[in-house]
Amino acid sequence: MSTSRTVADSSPIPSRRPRRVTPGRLFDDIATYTALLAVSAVFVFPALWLVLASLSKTGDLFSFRGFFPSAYSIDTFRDLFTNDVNGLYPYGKWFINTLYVAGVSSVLGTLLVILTGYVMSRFQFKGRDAIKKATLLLGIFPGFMGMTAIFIIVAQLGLLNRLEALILLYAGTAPLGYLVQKGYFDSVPGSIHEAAKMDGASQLTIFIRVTLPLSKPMIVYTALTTFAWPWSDCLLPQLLLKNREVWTVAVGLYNMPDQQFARFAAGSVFIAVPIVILYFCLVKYIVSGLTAGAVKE
Amino acid sequence: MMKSNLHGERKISPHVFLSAFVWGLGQLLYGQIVKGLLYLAAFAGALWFFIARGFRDIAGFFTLGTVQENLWLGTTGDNSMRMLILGLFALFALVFAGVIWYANVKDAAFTARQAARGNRPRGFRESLAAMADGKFHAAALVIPVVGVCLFSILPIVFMILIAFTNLGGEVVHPALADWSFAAWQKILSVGKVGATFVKILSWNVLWAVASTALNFFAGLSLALLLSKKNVRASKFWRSFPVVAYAVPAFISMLGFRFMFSQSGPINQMLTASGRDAVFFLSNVESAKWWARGIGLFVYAWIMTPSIMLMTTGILSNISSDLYEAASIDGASPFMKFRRITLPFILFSLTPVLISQFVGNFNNFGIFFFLRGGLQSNYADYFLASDTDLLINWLYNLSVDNNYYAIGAAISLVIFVITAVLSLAVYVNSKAYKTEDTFR
Amino acid sequence: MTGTKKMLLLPLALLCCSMPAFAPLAQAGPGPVYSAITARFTGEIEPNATVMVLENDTAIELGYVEQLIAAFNEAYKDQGIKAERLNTDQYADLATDGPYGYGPDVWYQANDIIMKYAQAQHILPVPYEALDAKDQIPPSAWEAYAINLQGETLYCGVPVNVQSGMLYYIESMLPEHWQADWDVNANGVPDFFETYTALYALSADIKENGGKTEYGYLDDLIDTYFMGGYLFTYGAYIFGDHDTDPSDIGLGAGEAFKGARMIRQWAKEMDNTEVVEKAFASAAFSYLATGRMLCTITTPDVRRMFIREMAANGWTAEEAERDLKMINVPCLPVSGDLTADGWRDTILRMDELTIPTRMMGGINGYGISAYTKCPNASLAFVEFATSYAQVMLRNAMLGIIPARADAAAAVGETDDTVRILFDKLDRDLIDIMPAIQAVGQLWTPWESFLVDITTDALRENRGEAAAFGTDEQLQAGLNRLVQQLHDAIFTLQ
Repeated sequence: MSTSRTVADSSPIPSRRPRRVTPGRLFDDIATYTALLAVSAVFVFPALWLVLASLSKTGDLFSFRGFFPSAYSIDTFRDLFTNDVNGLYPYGKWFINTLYVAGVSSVLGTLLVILTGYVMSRFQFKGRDAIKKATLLLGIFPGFMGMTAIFIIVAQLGLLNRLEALILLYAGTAPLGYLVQKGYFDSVPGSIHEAAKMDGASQLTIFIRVTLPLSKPMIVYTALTTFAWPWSDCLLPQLLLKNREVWTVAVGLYNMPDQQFARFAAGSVFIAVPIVILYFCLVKYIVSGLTAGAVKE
Repeated sequence: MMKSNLHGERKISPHVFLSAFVWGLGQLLYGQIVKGLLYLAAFAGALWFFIARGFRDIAGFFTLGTVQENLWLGTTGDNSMRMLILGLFALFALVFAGVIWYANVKDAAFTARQAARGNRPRGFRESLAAMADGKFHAAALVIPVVGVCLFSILPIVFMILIAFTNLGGEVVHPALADWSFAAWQKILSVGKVGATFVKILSWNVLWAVASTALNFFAGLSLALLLSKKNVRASKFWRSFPVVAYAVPAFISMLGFRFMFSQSGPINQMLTASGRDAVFFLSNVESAKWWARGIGLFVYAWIMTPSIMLMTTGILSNISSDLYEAASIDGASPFMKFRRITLPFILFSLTPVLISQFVGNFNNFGIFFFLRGGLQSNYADYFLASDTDLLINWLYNLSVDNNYYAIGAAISLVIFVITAVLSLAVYVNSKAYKTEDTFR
Repeated sequence: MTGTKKMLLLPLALLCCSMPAFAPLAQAGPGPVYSAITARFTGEIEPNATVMVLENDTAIELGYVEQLIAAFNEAYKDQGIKAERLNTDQYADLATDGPYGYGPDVWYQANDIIMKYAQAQHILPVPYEALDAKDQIPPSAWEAYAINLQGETLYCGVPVNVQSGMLYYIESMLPEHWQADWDVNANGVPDFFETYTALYALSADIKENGGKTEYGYLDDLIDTYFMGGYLFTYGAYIFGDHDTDPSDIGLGAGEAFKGARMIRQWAKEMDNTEVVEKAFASAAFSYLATGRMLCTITTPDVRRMFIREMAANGWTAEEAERDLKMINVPCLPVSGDLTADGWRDTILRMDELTIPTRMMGGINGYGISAYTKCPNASLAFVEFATSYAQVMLRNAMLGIIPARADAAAAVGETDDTVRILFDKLDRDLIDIMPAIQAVGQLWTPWESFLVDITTDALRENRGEAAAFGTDEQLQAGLNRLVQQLHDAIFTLQ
């Protein structure tokens, strides 16, 4: 696994050499592109369906004939923000809540995970093995069974119905997933740190001045994943947030009745678009992050 | 007791004794004002907490309440579940206080040794510097450890304990609970619960294996397809799966649920073309394998892209020398895949596959969103449907029907099963056996 | 130790234990238990209290709740209290949230949902003696909120409206020449709305020969609430001892199989897979308005949803209001077979060949949370919301059938629905949903049974073997359902 330091973007560069067309190659090309088209269709069709459904004029699923709405309009998107049906579907608020929770959780969570992964990778200390084993064990527990307890703890802290409860929970439990970050730091040569240490820098300085700047891909990856989880989690906010005004988008969409299908679709599209764009822009970091997580236990 | 802490220090300074009783006092006497005050504050805080409620909470942990609240008459009383968790919290706090006490005594002893050697006691700033450097790992891990203890370990321990009470059913607030083994008796006695458990477990294992394998091979095939030499603009092609990856999973699942519903577009097209509508996700016996298959498909749709990205990264790490050597030996492309690519990827991904296996085994979301709220009557599933995994079942039991103790007992069983399975796979995996050589 | 504590669970034992002076009294009216429990309703309104009100989504969506709360706040401005809408999900979990100070003070819901929380004391018995509405609300409606304690009857909610299935249709969608073809008794009512046998015949005819609509009658055949009537009409009941004894489950009692048989016949005739999914209930609005079906059965309080859907399909609001009809459900055949009698016979010899259909019903009303900090202000709100004026307004805006006699009489002058429902109530043709906790376990297994028999019919249509083709198989299915319900209620206790 010495090769685990990943190239940021690993997709092979298409061959630029002119190739001679032979029947075998032609067949191979046809098969390859057919497969590509098929795969792309499978992945893009459901998403496209949702997008078109969100533009449906009548709004409910049952008035669709076939896959697609019979008439289109952008009213649903306007309604999404302007007409909350007497406070039943305040999508704008949900969106801001979601942004707040995901954003703050992401900043705090990233800091904690990176720190944990770094410490677990670079330091030898008493209890390190115990922590490692404990996290492995915790990962195997059906986690949300603790939800009853989490509800009571949050209620005791007086944070029920508060978005801060979610932030505490998301950021507080994020370090459990430190293995990916540890894998990444394992693959960073230790010599840089040793050199800094020789120069008399303290560990804190090394972490801030040397480690953090070096681990930009990992930070981006971690920030993205710690952002994406609160962005789309539905169970925890459903448990802890009571009032509609403090719901996150996921809870609101989950509780939307069938007659509001177009609203659901529009809300889904609107919440999905930012994250899709983020993923697109940051796909090379995702590849390196996923690979770093993969190569070390 | 003191002796063992101080590792044979010949003469124990009285200041250390003082610190052992009143935290920080020794430090204060050595002139370490800020540190001493901090310890003293911690001491006062701990005292205040335990006297004000901690000891009572610990007592409550054992009794689980003695006075029942009467909501109608407005008389107050105990809340068993809250007492259980507060008691647990107090016990955690006791351990935490013990750790601080130990650190405090150790610190005092350290200063005493320094003083005995005639060194000046460390000032607060130096201590802080030492924290940032020598004890960097400890300082860095404080917040993560506290967070995980509070929001992950405490709830899990709570759940384990719940399995040994009679909480649930009619025993919910304002009724008082007790410690009991009743839940285990119910699970172990062969009957409704036991029969359903076996049925769900076998499907659960099948699901975990099938979905892990399917996602892995689908992701791998996709990565191989995209990395074929004759694929131009592979980044463009890659973007389609990335869309699926980026769309929040619950939206995909609810979307698919609508798509496959009885009034959904697929059935509409079927009936419009004169065919019979299919029960995809309905509560019907014939939907059993449809729904299971759709679950596998939808989950693969969601998961494949990430495996694809992962394997793309790993594929690029395989040294091309290996392939060239194999070509010289006359190996076919399939042989190269079989002998070089697959082993390399499997080796790299074993830990990921294990954690995915565990995650799939406990995949709550997929059938909750696709088919939530069903109960299959036809084959005597007890409060479950034929697609439910154990985790869905225990959600039905403990959240929907408030059978807390039974749900907790089942989740312990799940834990044992998944732990054994994944440990067995892990220990037998190449990655584990050869870990050291690759380090 | 477990045993002794368990004993304390029953509210009865509880009161005995905290008030040992009370000997069980067998009396009907308010007694010492009533006065002890309602003692906190002193009548002194808590100053500056804010009453959190949880209302149902339809009432919010159609704007009634806003008006109600504004009116209350206006009326009680001088007393320094106000009401606010609790904007949470309409199904609160009082048992979970209440102890931590969350959840509503006042809660509008169906009686079975409110009463699910009454047994464990999460809902307060109301001081009905002090309520203006006390004598206006018929005993059968109060009954839905009754709980018995030491021989005294307490009520944990104030009824607002009566719910039961009504048959909806659009008049202009009736078949051409129905007066000639479908009114053999010349009473001006289409025969197919008088007996189910005739409705079946019409539906079969539309299917075969076409018509203005694609289907005759379509309905969500797996809805326990509306399909319950088929079983009840032939002797089934939910729980024994007036729906209070969960150990006696009577869904298979009497000739319940006849009811199950007819549900299955409907499924076979409709031959549409959408009706075996719950979502059909919300699809029904657009199904009716787009002319896919002639009629369906649902509760009065969703009338506005049909009107709205009709408005989206070419009607003006007034036209839709006039064109949408809501009538009593047809009678069921004595034979328990929709095809056994000639449909004309069932009309001409109605008394002999048919029996009135029993229906499941519910009483929606207001309950007061036991966790409220302001019981008197909450009571003031409940009084306000159940007053004649507010109930009339609720009727005007939502189409609900008032439980209050005076409001019902006033509405009944222009609206037959009220008379129909009260007539059914009086003749004991409406089985109100049980008011005990065990009722929560009822719906899912029951619904699954309905799915089983209806999809069996659809399978048979496709030429597959039937599993519920005979009366014996249906009865066996019902018996199994009863066993499952019993298991669900008692296995884990």
